[in-house]
Amino acid sequence: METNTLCLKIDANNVIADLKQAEESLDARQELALDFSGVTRIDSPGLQAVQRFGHRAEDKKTKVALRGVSVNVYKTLKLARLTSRFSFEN
Amino acid sequence: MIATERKERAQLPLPAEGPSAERIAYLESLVSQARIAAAVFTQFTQEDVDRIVKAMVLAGLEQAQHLARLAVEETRLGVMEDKVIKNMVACEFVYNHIKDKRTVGVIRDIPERNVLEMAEPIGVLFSLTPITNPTSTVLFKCIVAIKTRNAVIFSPHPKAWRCCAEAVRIMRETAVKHGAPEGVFTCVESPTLPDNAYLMHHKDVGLIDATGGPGVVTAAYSSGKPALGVGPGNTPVYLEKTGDLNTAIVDIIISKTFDNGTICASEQTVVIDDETYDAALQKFAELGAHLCNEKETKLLERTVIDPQTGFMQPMAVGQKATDIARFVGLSVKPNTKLLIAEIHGVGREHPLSVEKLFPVLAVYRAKSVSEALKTCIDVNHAGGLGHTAVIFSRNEQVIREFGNLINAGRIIVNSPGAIGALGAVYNDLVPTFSFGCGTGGGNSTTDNVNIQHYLNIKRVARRTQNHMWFRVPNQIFFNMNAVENLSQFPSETTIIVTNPALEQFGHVDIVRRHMCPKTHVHVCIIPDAEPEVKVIEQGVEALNFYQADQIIALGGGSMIDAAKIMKLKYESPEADLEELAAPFLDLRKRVIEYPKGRAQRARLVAIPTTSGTGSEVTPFAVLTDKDRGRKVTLADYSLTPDVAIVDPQFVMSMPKGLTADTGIDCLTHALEAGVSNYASAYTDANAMQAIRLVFKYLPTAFAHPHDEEARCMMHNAACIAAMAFSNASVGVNHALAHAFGARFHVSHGKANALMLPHVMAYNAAVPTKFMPSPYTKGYIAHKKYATVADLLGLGGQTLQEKVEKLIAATEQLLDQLGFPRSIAELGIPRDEFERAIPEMVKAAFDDPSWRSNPRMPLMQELVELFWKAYEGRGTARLAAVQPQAV
Repeated sequence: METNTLCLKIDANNVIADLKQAEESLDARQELALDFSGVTRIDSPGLQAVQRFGHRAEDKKTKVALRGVSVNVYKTLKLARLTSRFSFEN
Repeated sequence: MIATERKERAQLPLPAEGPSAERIAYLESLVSQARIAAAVFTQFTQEDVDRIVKAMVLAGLEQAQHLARLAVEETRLGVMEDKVIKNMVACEFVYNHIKDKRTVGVIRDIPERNVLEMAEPIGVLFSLTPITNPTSTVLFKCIVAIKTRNAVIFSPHPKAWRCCAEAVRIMRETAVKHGAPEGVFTCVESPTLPDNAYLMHHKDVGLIDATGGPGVVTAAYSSGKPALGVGPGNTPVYLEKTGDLNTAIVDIIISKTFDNGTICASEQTVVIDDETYDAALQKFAELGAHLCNEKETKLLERTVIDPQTGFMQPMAVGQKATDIARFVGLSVKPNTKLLIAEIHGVGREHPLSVEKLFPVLAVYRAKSVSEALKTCIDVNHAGGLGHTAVIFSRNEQVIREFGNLINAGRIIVNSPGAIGALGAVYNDLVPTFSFGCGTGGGNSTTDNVNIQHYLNIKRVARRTQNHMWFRVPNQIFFNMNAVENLSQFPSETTIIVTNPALEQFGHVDIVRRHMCPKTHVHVCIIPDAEPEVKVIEQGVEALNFYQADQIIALGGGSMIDAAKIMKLKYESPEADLEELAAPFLDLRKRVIEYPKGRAQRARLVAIPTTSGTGSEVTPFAVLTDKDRGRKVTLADYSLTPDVAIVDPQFVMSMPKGLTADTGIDCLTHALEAGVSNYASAYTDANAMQAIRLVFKYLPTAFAHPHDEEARCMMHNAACIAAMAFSNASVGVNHALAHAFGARFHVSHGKANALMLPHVMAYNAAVPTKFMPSPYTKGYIAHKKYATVADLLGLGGQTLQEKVEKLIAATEQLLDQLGFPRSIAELGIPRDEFERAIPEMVKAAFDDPSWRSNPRMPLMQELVELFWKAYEGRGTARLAAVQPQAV
């Protein structure tokens, strides 16, 4: 299992697919970072995908950091009670 | 709200069992969807939600007939055509009201208050909807929820579930198609009482919006969640004799037959004045109402009202008048719209006086306005508190009296109750399908529920720049022989208020010499002490006797204070001095106001004969109430003398002790005003100059009493310092000095001197507790002291050094003036002082002087300051050596 942190970029128009792809990296890593800097708004399916990804990461005991999350998206994650599943980096 | 709902939902707070695990999973999925949708919704702009709302409204209008038909088929209540109208009102009228309203971001800017109002969505709402207005209520709540960016979980009445679920589906699909988040509206399938109870208590539900009967409302409010509970009514109608009969009868029929009377705001009992009673009934009959005779009334009430509960029978709700008549066994014309039955009272013994959500109307003949109003009150209290009432009248006085007497959130005038209460059709009430019934109905609001109730309104309050002031007498004359200016003030009769010694010294004669020659002068000699009530009364008696148009106060602070109070009582005899002395925190917000606009009967000219109190320019006056053994401090700018004459010739013979005492009083005024929280650039200019003059001239005035320049400058300094503290006030030093001086009979100047170095060190240190003050930015007392040190050229590099040097210079000055440097030196035994401390601390804390002090004194700190003053020299400097971290 690799211990260095892999950082995956999340495309604003492709949140669900990118998160699905990120799920594949969960088995191989203890730490993972997702770059959300390009995501300025998130819709319901996108949020559900984040929720699902958070569950998987928890199951796999992988620490996930979300990088560059905008304040609007951060508030959305907060209201959806998802922030406790991740760490946040600027 | 109808009886079926009462029975089915009454037990909501205490469901027998909770939902099954499977059911909980289902309910959790609804909440989860709603939570996600609500979270996503927070990112939407005003334009986003307005676009979605418009599409939903259009869809609702298009489906109005479809939904109305479904509602009637499923519930078997009401009139299809009327339900179409209700659905359309719920869309179109509500849209018209909300379309231009801001519900996202800044919703209101109030620049004059420096306040911005911003909208915060609630999040997830749990909404119960009734059987009586099922689809219209759903349409209304969906539109309002989208406008305010909330998600809603609906739980319709079980007997109206299908039509409501269809309304929810239409709204959801339209909203999502136009960009709303998935899961924004869901509808609990086959909802049960345990389901409702579970959702009402769910942590993710932010608000319960319960439209229904008392059971629903009670359950909602008992859940511990914020709730809008909208319950049943019992609308009284007063058809007053001046009302337009034609309009009234048609309006009542429109309202009471609309959707077969299912709207809870519809008319229940019409109270008609005797003068128009017969005509009114005839008109009802002409327009299609059946007037029941006594026998028919008995039959009717036995059938449509449950004799056990006293509530209406569910089978009658929303049925046509002819169907009810047939069921009861009455013979009526086929086109009968309404059944009317006369009642002779209100209550259980008059069954038809309760809410009847079907086209049966009770009427009551009133012999007088008083009887009519009382009957309306009775109906209002028989299940209709907080809901709706109606009056038809042209008499504005009666309308207002009705409005005053009846407890109803909506009092509808000269229009139909049901449609009037819905708003926006017959009046300018906010359109709604949810009537707040206030505390009378167990609700939190009497409003017509709308967007404002679906929002958390945040207020962004910016710091305001409070107005400050600088008020001093209109005219101040100063320097040697300034008294000559008296001649320019014409007066027919002048009273000189002074004391025996000053008359003896010839000061009164000097004043007389410079007055207008034709002035009649009378001298009012009073004791040289803080004025007593009796002395004031005598002075006012003299002023009235001579009808004086000018008062000259010649003397020290006490004399001038006495003249201020005499003038107040002379011009406002009704002024209650005890009341005017009531405590206050902010002069502009005080509870007790001084008499306003009183006639200026006399000009007050103040000529001080000491150089300290500055009473000639201050708005303060102290009075002694010997009978009650207390001092009364009056403070108001209307007490400020009109003219001040600061002529040093009157202080040339001041004894050394008095020179020192008054001089240090002046210095304390200036130092306290300088660091006061009310200090401004205007008061600072005066405070700083006064401090400079005191340090420069007080030692000379003390050592060489006949030095004219020193006397003149100290006289000016006292007046200038008083101008500063008149506007910036004093501080904790004065509070301590007042308490200590009063307890041990020590002169005010000496008491001030004993406290001063310690209070300076105290104010210069980092406060234990900061004093809230909108006037100052940050803590600056130590910086102000350092500025004083610079002004005096005391040297020092750091703020701390400068503060220390100022304290040292003050101590040196006190030494020069021969002041005792500790309370112990006064010969006050330690144990006696210790015993006095609690009483002195209480008095000092009650003293308003410290309210403007930069540092808020804690009781324990007052104790410590008293002890420092007792111990004396050296303790102040030690305190000031604390780090200046602010």
